[in-house]
Amino acid sequence: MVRYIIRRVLQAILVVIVVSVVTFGIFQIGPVVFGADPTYLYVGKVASPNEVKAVRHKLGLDKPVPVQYWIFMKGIVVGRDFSDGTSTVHCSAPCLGYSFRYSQPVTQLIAGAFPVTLSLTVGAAILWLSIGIPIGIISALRRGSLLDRSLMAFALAGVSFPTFVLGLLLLLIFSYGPLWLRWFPNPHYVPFTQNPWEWFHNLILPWLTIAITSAALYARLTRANILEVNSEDYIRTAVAKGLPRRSVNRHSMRSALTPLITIFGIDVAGLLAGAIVTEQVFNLPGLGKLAVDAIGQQDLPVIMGVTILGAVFIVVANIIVDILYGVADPRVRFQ
Amino acid sequence: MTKTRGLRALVSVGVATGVIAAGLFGAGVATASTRPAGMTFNGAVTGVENPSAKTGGTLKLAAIGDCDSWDPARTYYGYCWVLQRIFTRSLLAYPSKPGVAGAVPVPDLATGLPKYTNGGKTVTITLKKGQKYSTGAVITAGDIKYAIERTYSDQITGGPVSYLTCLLDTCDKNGLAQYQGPYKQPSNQPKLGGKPSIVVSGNTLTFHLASPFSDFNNLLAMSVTAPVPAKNDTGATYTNHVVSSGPFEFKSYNATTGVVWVRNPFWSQAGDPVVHPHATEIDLNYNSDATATDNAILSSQVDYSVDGGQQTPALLTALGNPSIKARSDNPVTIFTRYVAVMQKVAPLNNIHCRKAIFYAINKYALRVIRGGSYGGQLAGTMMNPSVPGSNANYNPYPDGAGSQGNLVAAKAELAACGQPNGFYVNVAYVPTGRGLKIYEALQSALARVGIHTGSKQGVAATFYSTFIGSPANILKQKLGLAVVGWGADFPSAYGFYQSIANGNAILPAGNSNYVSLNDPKINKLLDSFEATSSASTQAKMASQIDHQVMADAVYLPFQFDKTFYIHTSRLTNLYLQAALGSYYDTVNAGVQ
Repeated sequence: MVRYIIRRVLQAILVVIVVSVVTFGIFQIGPVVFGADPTYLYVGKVASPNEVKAVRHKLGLDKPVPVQYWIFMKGIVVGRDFSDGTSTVHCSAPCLGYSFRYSQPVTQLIAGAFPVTLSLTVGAAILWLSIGIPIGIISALRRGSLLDRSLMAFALAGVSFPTFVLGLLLLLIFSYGPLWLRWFPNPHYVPFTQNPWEWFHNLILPWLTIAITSAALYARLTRANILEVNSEDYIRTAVAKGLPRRSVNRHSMRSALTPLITIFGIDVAGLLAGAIVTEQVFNLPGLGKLAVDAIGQQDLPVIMGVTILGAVFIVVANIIVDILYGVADPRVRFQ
Repeated sequence: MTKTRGLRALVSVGVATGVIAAGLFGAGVATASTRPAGMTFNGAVTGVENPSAKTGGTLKLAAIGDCDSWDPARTYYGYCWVLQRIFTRSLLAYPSKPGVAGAVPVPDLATGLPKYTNGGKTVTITLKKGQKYSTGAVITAGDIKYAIERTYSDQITGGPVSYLTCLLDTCDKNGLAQYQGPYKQPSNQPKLGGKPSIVVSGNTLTFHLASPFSDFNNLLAMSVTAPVPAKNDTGATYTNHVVSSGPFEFKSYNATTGVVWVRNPFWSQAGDPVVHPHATEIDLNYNSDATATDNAILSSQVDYSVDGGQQTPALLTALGNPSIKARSDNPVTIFTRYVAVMQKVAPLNNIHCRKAIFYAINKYALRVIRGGSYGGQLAGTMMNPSVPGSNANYNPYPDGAGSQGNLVAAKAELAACGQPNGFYVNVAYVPTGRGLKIYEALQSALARVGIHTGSKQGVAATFYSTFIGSPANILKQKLGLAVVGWGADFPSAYGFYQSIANGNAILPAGNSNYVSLNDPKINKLLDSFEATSSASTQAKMASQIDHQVMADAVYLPFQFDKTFYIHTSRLTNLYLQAALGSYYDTVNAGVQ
């Protein structure tokens, strides 16, 4: 198992490097291919040729692309200094570049955005697991009943609803709607450390937006898995041998819920990389919104930083999920 | 029950639910606010809404995103200039009055208006004593000198500094100053003829100009000249830690979420004759979803948006609801919306081909896309009505019936330019917001006379800097037309036309003279405009410049922009600052 983990970690590092090369290439070479000078994104509306030249040098854009990439990657390991001639900003490792749009290290911007995305992800995950899995279990155990059909109709509706539509509807009704329905404020993020109640209050609608769609999916998956496991020979044998239904269910649940680990891990990693739609709809300044705004402003260092971080989340989640799957299912062998 | 009856029941329940929900929602919106006492539609355009001496409370504001910079020398967004009044002061400032009364600079940090001698080339002004920054340090005349000196640095980019550059320092034939700013040359300063051009003696500043500049008072009212304490200056990162000289200071600033300003404890009303703040805190939150902001304003959770008006759905809501309309304003702004017709791109190098476009355009359709009569006032000439000497009724290219184009005249011009069957031209635009619809409207209008258009899409972040802002790129990509807007940097014909019409203002990038206009008549008029201080002479020159620009057929105006603002009913002392783009003058606004 240790060798398996080491191998997976090395593979993950390779994947992240490839992602960084591709991302860097697209956003550095793209403007050149299309005849645009990225320096002009940072000099403001009016700048003299001397000012453009100075900013180009400050950004390092006057260096060859491979050198720029090397400097960027080296900064992740050992940190980097950014000087504008008057003051020097030290960017400690892992330094993901400097946003000249915001005049701040990218790491700082990400550090400010990550708690928002984390709050959104954790809350939504708790909700969708709490709603989706019980619904799936009840539905499976009451297969064919009116309750099962009602719950699966809810699941179908939830899966069919696009996230942004659900989010906007919730806002229109509960934030901007009739006075007596305005249970939630105009959405904005309040840090937990600043005001726990406001933090919670402002996140309920975003949590519900993600959780309703995901819960519906998890309900359907849970139900399908339980039904599949219940048709296995060993379950039928256990029933035939007179094992109490409760014991049989306990055995089948473990087998049925194990595949959900994989999906859950990927879902959480995906959200941590940036719940773009939900953050945009609810104006939450998380990683997703940071990425979208950076793309609109062509803030290349921020785009690089968020993309690499997202890649790290996905590969780490994959490793964890694979390890946990092996722990949960003894049939899995690490090779 | 049977399947059919079950389905019918389901549909009935669904419809009933929808009707009830719509009714509840509609009722909610209709009763979202009672008719605000003391407020009328357009009340803030020519007057002050809800005047009140009450102080206290928090203003809740919204914007789509961050200002280009909070550094007073580096910002060029119109609404950011108005927000600068919250935390900066300059020697002069625009009065806190609506309409034209708010467009003539008055003393702010200065004891009085400047004195002009030596044929207008020497300007003397005295700083008030005892005015303080938010740090408690006293504002000195040396700080104002330093603020201007730092604009010569290549770290301080993006603001309207070019007006001062060659006025106060020796420039070469390319307009590049010899002085390189205090970071590189701490012992040097701007000089003309080897002598310092800014001299400080106690609290008095004396400016020695390269040539008379009758709009110098307007330059002294710009945030570019707001004092900056040298020891707090961090160059390009000063935007993150601006030291306030105004009534408010930064409590917190996050470039992605917003700003909170609180009162500057060292500012006193006794020393500030210009602004009269009423709120104790101003919260500005960013939300890239303009529709969400509109909904927040309609539901009175946000007071108003600082960076522009509301979208069409909110406009329609206001028009259909008297109580919301009463708290709305629809001013004509300082911005003219026009089509830049690139005279360097064939066949537009032929004036008759350009005039064909002038006659063929459908101004009515373009205005509909931009909000109809609430989005703009049809324009026949470039110079905005906010500019002294303008004549909004002047139109050398009659628009045809309903302003939908004069196709007969267009075809005559096509024949004159040797293209009787039309020609092909590329249109540059940004395909976001209304950009695509504007392009399609232009395409339809011009196609009526055989002028076919190609689409050249640019990216918003670089559209004005390197797409249409680069003369080389215009030629390379054969960009023939671009729909753009322009407002005067300060209320005068020079402030309106210098950057877009003077041949000496053409830049390799970030160019605002998109069409590379270099008409000697216009150049001469602009170059000599500032030499006279006579208002009547300047008005006459303004008219001549405007007429000549129109005669050159390179700028095709179709409307003077209007903005539709909605605000909450709890606001007091609300009015639109006409000189700075007709945005609400936030520094003075209060809450009930």
